[in-house]
Amino acid sequence: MTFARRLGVVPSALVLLAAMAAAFAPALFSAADPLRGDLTERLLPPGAAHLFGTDELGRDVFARVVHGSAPSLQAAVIAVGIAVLAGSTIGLVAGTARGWLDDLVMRGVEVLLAVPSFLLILVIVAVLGPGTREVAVAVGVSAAAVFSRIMRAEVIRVRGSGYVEAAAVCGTGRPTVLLTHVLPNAAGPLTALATLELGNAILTVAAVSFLGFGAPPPAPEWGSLIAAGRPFLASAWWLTTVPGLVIVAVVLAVNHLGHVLRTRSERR
Amino acid sequence: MTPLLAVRGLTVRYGPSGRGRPAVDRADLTVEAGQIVAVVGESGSGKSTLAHALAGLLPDTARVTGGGVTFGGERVDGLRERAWRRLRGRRIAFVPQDPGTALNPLMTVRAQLAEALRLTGIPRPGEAAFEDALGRVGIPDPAAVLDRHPHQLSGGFRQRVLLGMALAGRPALLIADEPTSALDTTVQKTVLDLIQKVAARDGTSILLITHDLGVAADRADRVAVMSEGRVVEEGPAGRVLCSPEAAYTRLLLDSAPRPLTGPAPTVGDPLLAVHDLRKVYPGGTVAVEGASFTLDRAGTLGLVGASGSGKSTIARMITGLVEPTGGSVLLDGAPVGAGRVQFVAQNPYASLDPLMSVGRIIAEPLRALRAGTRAERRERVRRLLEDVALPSEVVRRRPSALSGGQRQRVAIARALAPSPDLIVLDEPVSALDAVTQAQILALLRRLQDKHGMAYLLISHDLAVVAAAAGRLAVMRDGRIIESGPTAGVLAGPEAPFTRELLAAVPGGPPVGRTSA
Amino acid sequence: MTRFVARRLTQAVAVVLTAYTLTFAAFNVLPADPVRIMMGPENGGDEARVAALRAEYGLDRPAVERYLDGLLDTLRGDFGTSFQTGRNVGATIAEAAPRTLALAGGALLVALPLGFLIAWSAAHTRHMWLRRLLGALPGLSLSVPTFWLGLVLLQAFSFGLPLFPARAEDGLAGLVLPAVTLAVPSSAFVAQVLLERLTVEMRQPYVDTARAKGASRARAVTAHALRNAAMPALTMIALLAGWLVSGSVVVETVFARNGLGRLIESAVTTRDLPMLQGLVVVATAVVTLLTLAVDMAHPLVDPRLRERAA
Repeated sequence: MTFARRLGVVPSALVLLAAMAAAFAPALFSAADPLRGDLTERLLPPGAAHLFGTDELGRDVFARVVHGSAPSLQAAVIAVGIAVLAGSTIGLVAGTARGWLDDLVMRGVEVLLAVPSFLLILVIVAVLGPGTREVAVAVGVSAAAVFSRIMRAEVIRVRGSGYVEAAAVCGTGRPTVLLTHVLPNAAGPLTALATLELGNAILTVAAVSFLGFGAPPPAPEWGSLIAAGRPFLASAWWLTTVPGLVIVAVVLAVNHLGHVLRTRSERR
Repeated sequence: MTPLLAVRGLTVRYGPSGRGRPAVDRADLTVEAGQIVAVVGESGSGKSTLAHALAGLLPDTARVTGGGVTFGGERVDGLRERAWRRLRGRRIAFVPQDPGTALNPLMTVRAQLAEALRLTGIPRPGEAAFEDALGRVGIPDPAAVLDRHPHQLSGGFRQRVLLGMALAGRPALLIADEPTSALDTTVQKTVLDLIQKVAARDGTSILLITHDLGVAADRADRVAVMSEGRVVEEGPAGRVLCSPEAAYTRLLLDSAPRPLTGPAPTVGDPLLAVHDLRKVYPGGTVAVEGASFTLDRAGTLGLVGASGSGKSTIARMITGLVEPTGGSVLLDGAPVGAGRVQFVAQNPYASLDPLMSVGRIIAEPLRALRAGTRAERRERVRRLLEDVALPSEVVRRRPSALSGGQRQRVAIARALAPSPDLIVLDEPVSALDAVTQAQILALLRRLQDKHGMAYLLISHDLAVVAAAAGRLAVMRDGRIIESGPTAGVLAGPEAPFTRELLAAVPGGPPVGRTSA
Repeated sequence: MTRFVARRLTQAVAVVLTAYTLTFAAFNVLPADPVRIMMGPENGGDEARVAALRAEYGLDRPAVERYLDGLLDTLRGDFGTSFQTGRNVGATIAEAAPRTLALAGGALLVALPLGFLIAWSAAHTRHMWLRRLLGALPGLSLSVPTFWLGLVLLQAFSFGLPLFPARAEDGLAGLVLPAVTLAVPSSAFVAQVLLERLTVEMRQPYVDTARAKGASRARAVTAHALRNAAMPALTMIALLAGWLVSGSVVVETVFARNGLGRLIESAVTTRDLPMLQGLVVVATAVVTLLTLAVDMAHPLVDPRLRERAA
């Protein structure tokens, strides 16, 4: 029951569209250079010339947020992609095979779920080293377990449904049943979950980057951008507050769409 | 004298601002003291919403937008929650649908009954109060029930406990929402007998909500027929059921299943031979034991029994969904070949893939058998839709756009597609309303005359089987206890269980105009 | 029942040992070896130094031997020596744990009643607008980055209004802001799970039965629906614990508190593999034990499960 649902998906879709556009064509939004600043314009509060203000090196914060959207969103999208692909393959195999293979795979998934997810992500980052791509892989792997569980449950649900039974009586072969009934019907809930997970992934990627395990300095990333503003908490509030608000807006939009998708897939 | 309950022009709407289509539309209804009034209607007719409105238990999304209700001479619609609480339990009692979920699964019968007694003004109920409350609903040994949890009781006992709680405060009015529709026929009869006895003994008025005209005819003094939110007819039970005035009541009456008339089928050419069939599930549960029967070509065999009697397991073994533990299923003396036996399941909402178009669903067996070219299959689907009397434009629709009856027609068309010799119908109409039920049964008869396949018709409802099957087999606890021509079994049942089953059919046993 | 307990206990031990094995494999078998991970990609070329470090930490022994030794030590509760500080891993963890427990405890003190209150009120109210509003709160809180929330609170209540210290290590005043930061998402999590279950239970006919008896709406929610919703919601407690561990990393970094979270962060920064491995095993054990406890409690509450377990 989201209050905002009554507004429809339009505002959320617009926010998401803007974020995507910023990721693909940052120049559309800001002509300023995110890496080079004007030292005469240090620590200026938000104003007409600098929408989000400037940082300690005189760099335009708006330009840095816009240019930071590409690596931040990319990492989240790659992470969800990995989670969906790996997780649903594992879930599909376990749900279709059943028996000992199912047991084995699900025990493994249980272990992954028992490790606190953020700790798991950091351990993987420790092994792979810091970097946007490495963080994406780590977040993806840690989310895969959830997807494999959902996929397995969906496969088992659909396989026990009346229409799969009907297909069996018709003489439809098992591979065909899998392709025509099981996969399409499992796709709906999985898509909804993937969208909700995208919001999560954006937050997690930002948190890892905040801790300093993302892309190395001058490159702007949403998390590291906020971390860089920490020394100026008392004097320049906009360095931390404004990029954070951007993250909140994007995550809210993604979660809203995810909830709409989930309601839709449940209503069927 | 003012009536106990008077409903005048009551309108209930759903939706945030109460602007939706009315679920109850200007309904009028009167219940006098000591009367049993039945409200009859199909699902979606608004009868359940009406019942909830009269108990002040409408969901938060619904509200009364017009008319009024007086109870014992006082207006009760629009009462505040606090005032309702003084009425509920003490003056107005309510028993919800489905005894399976109407009791709190985590609390013992004692705790739930104690709550009811406390709320009706007995602060510290003693053993005697418990025994009295359960004794009144025919539970002879309350001690055996009190410390059990709901899941340890049978459906009939759960319903008795619910009634016992409802009647604990000696209410003037008992509203029972489909109190027996989830129970087997014989249990249904004992529960209805009990309700009737309570009304006669204590002078409690009863508002009985039911979809079953037979139940209304047997039990009620007055009957109100609801359709699309409106009370289309109201009057003394005898008058409404014998000389109905509203067209809808007539349609409902005509839809009640009637036994087949005409000579008993002669023994013909056997198609299906089931011999000594047995199914033991892992864990040792014996579902079916030593079931043997034959089914003639183009004949119909009805298989009747209570839930859990093993009839569905037989259906699943014949269709190959379940592997038998022992025994044989032979079609024309050979194991069942691909496409020769088809299946129509009980729930038309679950048996159609929600993402597939109707055309693809019907063509599924043809694709599985690799029968014909794409164009030929499309032509075959078109003819099948004609056969089941669905308009050709549904071909592109998804199941969610169809009604329950239309969905079941699609399932039947799919079963017909490979021109099978036998169609197994597992409770094909039990999820459907009376009018749709009659239409589907008529369709099945027509299709059999046209295409000449045999039916194995499985149902818990003796009336449905009697209306469609020439031969009949009765199952109990995994065994077939009686079989023979339908007319013969109905006229002279041999097994005591069959007699019990016959006596419990609401509206009287389906015997009669047979020429046997 | 004893057999049920024994089986679940064995499973729990197996989960923890598998977690140990997986981290060992990740550090020793997969991409490179521990020394190269430790030195980082930027200075991996110095072969002499690699060999020296390898000998120093006993990493020149075969992996199988080290795995079995480590496994036995882990079973005995000995997680080895930190690469970074040279101190015992178990002792370091034990030293840091109380501060994180205080943080998590403080957060739960706020989060549990708050989450409970939100879910209960949303289920109890008859006003659809209020229910929607309350139902939307958790989703809103879960869309806020925790580290950012901490910074905003610092800005407002340490620098803006100097009510709380910005980096006080001990004492109650220093605990307030971090605990509140961690409590916001935790309460949202609790409210979300509980409300979802409550919404399902409130639609069950037994709630109608209770109200038909004359029970008030509050009683129907509390004595009936909540009771049935509690157990499925409790299953989330293990997840919540894992969540608190994850959240403490960020919150302790923001508020410069030394606890398990900081330990995790610095172990990743310095690639202190024995420390990380010890932390993974301890955290997994905690989550697994909590899961186990909830599973054990289940049949006590639900009579239907009691029969199945017997």
